Amino acid sequence: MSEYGESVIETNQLTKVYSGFMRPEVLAVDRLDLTVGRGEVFGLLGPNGSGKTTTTKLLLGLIFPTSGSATVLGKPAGDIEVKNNLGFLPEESYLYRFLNAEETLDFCGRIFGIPRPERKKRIDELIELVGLQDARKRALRGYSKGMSRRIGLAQALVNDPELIFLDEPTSGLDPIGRREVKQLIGRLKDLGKTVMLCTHLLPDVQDVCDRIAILHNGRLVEQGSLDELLMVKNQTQLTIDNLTESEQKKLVELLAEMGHDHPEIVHPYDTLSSLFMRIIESERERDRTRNQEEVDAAAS
Amino acid sequence: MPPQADRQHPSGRLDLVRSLHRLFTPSGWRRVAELAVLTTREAVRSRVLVGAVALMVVLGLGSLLWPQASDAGRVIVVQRLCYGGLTFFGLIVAAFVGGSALHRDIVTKRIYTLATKPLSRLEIVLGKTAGLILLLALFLFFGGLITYGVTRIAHLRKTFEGGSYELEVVASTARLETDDPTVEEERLILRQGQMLEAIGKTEDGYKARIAGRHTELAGTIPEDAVRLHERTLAPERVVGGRELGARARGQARWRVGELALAIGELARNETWVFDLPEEQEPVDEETIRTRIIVGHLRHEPVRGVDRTQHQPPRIQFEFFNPREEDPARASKVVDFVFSAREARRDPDEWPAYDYYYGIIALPRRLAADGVLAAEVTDLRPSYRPLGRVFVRGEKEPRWRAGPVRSSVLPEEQATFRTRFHVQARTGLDLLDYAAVTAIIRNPATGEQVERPIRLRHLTVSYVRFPSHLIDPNQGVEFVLTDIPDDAQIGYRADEPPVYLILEPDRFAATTVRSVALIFFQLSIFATIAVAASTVLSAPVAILFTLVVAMAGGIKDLLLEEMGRRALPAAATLQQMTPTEQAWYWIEYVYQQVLIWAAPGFSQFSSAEFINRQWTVPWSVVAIAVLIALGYSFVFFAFGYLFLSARELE
Ligand SMILES: Nc1ncnc2c1ncn2[C@@H]1O[C@H](COP(=O)(O)OP(=O)(O)O)[C@@H](O)[C@H]1O
Ligand SMILES: [Mg+2]
Repeated sequence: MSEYGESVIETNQLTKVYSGFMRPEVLAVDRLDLTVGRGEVFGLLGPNGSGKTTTTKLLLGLIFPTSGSATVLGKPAGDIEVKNNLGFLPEESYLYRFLNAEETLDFCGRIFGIPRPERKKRIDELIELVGLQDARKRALRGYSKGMSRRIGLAQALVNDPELIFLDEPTSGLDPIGRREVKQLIGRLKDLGKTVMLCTHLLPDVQDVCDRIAILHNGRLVEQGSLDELLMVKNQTQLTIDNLTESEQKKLVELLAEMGHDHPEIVHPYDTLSSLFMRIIESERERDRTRNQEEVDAAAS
Repeated sequence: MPPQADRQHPSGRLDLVRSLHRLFTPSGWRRVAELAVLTTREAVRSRVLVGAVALMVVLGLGSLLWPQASDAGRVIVVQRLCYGGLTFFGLIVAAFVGGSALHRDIVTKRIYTLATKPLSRLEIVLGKTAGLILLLALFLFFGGLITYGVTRIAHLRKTFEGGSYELEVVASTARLETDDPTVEEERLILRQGQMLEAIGKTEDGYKARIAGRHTELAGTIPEDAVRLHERTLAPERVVGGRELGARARGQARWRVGELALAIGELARNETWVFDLPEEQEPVDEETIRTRIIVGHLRHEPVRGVDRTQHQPPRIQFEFFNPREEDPARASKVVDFVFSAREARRDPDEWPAYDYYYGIIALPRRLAADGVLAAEVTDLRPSYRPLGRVFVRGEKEPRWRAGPVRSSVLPEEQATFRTRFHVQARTGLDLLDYAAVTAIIRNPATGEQVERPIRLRHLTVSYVRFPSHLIDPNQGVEFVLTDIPDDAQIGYRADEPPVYLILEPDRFAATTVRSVALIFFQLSIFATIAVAASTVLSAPVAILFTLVVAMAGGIKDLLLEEMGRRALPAAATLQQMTPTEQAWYWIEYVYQQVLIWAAPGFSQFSSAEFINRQWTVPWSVVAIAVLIALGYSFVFFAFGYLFLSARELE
């Protein structure tokens, strides 16, 4: 249970090994225990290939866990009824390219059984929301990467879902698009939706996420609220608006008088980056030493 | 270390019960329909439908415009090509669209759009299949229209080269116009009901011919005095080597030093009596040498294919002197040698008449009284007994037409006709006739009607059988009474048992039903293709579908229930294991049910159903639906299982 109340996603020792005929086995998700509470924006972070997408697919029931289990909205992962309340933006937009934006959304709306007038209204809203008014009648095969992301985002929201999975939502988007997506996520949060955000782009996360989990090689290496994780207990951070050069100098002198030499002066968003880097670096270091030990053991 | 893969999945991997529960709701069907429409739409937008229909247009026009030896042949070619095209292009569409349906969605990951929506995998497979079937229905709709149009046009253009038409005089009297001044006027007057052979068409009407042994009248008859009938071939004639001439001819004449017997028609247990000419040239005192000519073996091609085997006949004769009380018989087996095919203007034109000859030596005394009788005791190839009945002096000959092809039975307007002819009646001229009464009776219900008919010498007469008097299984019974003492009346059971009168609206009916049959066959292949695409990659799935289609034979997959309807013989059963026995019984009962449900089905041959002249009965279509549903269900179940177990990586 998270501090945000009832949990929306819960995984229990969730493990996925990709295997198959003539394929090397890949351990993509390794005994993952995740909890996402209702109304949270949850960031699933990790470098490329760390298992974010795999986790999402497991939660959506597209693939089946090798061991362990997961529940989504209180039902086992992949439950059909639950999908009425899910939205999913895949890593890349895999849509029917012969349809145009309107038709795509219309098809999705029909699948959800949304009645016609409501569907029409919703399509207009969503097209407006993702800014595709000019391209609404154009077939998706002519869309640029960013436009595809936008229509992908729109189709994920057709059914006004309770829980939304966004896999790298900002990839391929221009800076304005990114900001819009972040604003959108904020708005969804305000509406009480739960958002599962998979990304390796840290600035995205820091602005919008309530809680994060960091994956590395399929293992969960950190999980917690952003504040909690970023708080360094024996350090204090001051956040001051519009601090000038001279004021900053004075402040350092003042601190030096108090005995606090060499305070670190950073911009806030860098903090997550450094946290992330720190964690990943230490994980890699640990892997290296472990590998070295194995090599040594093998050698002796 | 990865944890041990214990392969224990959480619930719901194969969530069949819930999926079914969801499917059988209005919203479930609606979701399937949406997906079906999407699938069809994709194929339509990628111009699959337009392409296939365009090919049908090209095929139809091509077959229509391509030079043909005869117009009659053109109809055949057009029909075969169009129905063949519908089946073939339909199969290609089913294989290619179906074979890539799910696989392509999975590799391009478009399936995420579906699988993350509240669509169960059951609904996904069903929707994809239904979409493909919808696409095929559209294709067959347009293709069927083209087929209908093209065959119709070809039929309109057809002339009478093939000689497969007959004219029935429908006016109370009609006159045959001829340039021949030697023909007596009264012979040119034709009465209602009389049949003539149509040999062409001119502006003045039909060119017609009445052919008898001694007479042949040709002339023109006004179009409005007659009705045109198209002759159909009996289905049994499709089989090779069973074709035999329908014209009786027996005569004996001298060739140089030989007695030549020309026999035009053969049947087991039939005896031919030949009058021998006075001046015989014996080989020696004891023996005469006879050259026997078997002529007029008529081969009729079926739908442009010569299926007869040109196997020279081997005939066992028993020769005897018919004037003797208890005659001595000489049994001879004659192997005949191909002699000639009657010269025709066009060597490919049918029917063709082949002559075979054989030479035998016979004891002279057999022919002592100037007559020689020859009984045919065995025949090879095993020509079907002609079933001719010649009656002399019997007052009430009684025949029963066997089970009738029910293809035309259910229709009110369908009427059967069969032919009679007076075999020999001394003194009868073409216009002379024997007035007899025919009683036509339904053997099942006993209902009957009486018809006065006039049988003309050497002229085929027709009797109409109202369809309500024909029982589909027991056929029809008819009795001739009031036969004059000197008349011999022959009835031929081997003639096409019915002459199907082709009303123009049969075109539509036949096209619709044939296309329906093609549709149900194709829907089987559609399900196979979609099911294959859940587990195989697109090229493999396509190939798989095509191989199944070719190996199974497009029609045979549907029709393999045919032709195994024998009651299990005790000896056969004894050799079987209990399981085999059980299967045998199941199959037997299944076939009996089929036959019971659709009497026409047992006569339904796969080669036949594209024959426009044989209208497929609805009962056969209904059976085809059931079989198609059965097969489709099995393949669909496989598809569902495969996709359910599949990870959409
Ligand atoms: N279909 C697959 N088959 C085999 N290995 C896979 C497959 N998909 C992903 N992987 C592997 O699993 C690991 C996790 O992948 P993924 O979940 O896509 O990472 P992320 O989304 O975090 O970048 C990677 O090592 C990747 O190579
Ligand atoms: Mg990913």
